Amino acid sequence: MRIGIVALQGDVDLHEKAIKRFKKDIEVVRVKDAKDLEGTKLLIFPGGESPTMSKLIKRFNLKDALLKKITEDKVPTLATCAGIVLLSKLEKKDGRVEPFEILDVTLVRNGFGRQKESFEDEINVKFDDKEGVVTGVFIRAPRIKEVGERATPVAFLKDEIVGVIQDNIIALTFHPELADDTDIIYEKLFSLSD
Amino acid sequence: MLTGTHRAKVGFAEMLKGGVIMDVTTPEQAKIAEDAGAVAVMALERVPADIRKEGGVARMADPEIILRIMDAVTIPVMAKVRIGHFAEAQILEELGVDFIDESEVLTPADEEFHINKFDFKVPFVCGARDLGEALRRIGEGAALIRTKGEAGTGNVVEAVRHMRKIQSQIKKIVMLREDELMTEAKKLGAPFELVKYVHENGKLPVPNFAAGGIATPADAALMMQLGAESVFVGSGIFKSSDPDRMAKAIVDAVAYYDNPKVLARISRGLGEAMKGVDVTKLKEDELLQTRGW
Repeated sequence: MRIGIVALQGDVDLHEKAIKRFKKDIEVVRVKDAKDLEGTKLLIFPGGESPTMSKLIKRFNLKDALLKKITEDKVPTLATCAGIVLLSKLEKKDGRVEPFEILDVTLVRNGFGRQKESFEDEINVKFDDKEGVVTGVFIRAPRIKEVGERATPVAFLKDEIVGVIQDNIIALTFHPELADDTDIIYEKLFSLSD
Repeated sequence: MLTGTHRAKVGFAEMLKGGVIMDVTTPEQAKIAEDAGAVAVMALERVPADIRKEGGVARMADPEIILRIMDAVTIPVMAKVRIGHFAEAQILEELGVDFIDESEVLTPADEEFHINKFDFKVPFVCGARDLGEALRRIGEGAALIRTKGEAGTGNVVEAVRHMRKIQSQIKKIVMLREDELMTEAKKLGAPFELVKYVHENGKLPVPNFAAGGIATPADAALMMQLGAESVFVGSGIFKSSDPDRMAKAIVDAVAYYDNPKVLARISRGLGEAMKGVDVTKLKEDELLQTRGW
């Protein structure tokens, strides 16, 4: 199985490591060009700096190819931190990031504060078929302000929504790739391809 | 809820991979850096080339300048403290900077002891010329290592030397027998547990970036191909003739470091790179890389 990780910037290495830990015999492709997406059956948008990623997507004309993969081919897609920013709507538009706005979620960047406020805490994950508790590592994380009808909340920090599922997309404001107790998320991701 | 954990610190360094961290001295420069696609800016009063030229004691920047830069951009803001000056670090942590660089570019405050970086919630980056130095800094709590290179020269030769040295020392440790590791740790002057980590994993336990003398997209691509995971650019951008274009080109070069076709396109017509200094012409006491140990 070919898995694409958008590799313009960010924690690509950790995503590769995490997904290989979960599933053997997969081939990981680092996506920097539209042709890298050929044959990929699953897509990951890593964490990193969303303004940097957004600018590179624009300068290297990757938006259409990425959108096609997610919305037409409907490959299972995991978006974390900067990844969820790229797919959602921003509460305040400011030109630094031009998100795809395909996820029915409105958020603010760095909504929990600067790096010294970065934290880890227990997250309750509730998919329709399975529930569990995972470690959520939040690094200058975005904060979800509103979830629309098309998206379903699946991850909770106490009462606050920190992750959603919408069709073939799982999008989280934290980093499952930074913890080793997050298999439930990868199980769900791969089940979306069945 | 836990803040300031080692995982959150090193995790943040992982998020900066494949990016460019740019030295800036004003909010306007910080905006140019952000618009170009920098993953972070380093807030300074003077870039290293000017520190080198003007001499005197180089200290932590005025908090006023740092705060104005923090207000101007949404990307992370780093700032430098003198080696061993933990009071400057306490001030930067209080201001809310996202990363502290305990840097040889500033005049050292302590010639014997570096800062105990575990005392802080904010992560630290430190410079290194070889593996022993890198592992000592990690042993003190650094969440990120960069080559020292020779800052403010626009000459990449020292960064290349330091990156190659670290990479070849890592390869050597991987090949050693387990019963040889303690002696190697003694030779390197590095903590045994960290030498063992390198032996088992073939890499440092934290990300490894390049810094010191990077002035062009080609320099950035060279460092990435030699194993750097991101690039710090100090004087190279705002001492070039067209900072905006140079900044964008270096960001693109780091993302596409292994694609000569892209590198050739983005390197065209960038104007003049910073003038630069022949490192071999510097006197021993003019070198910044020998500060710290």
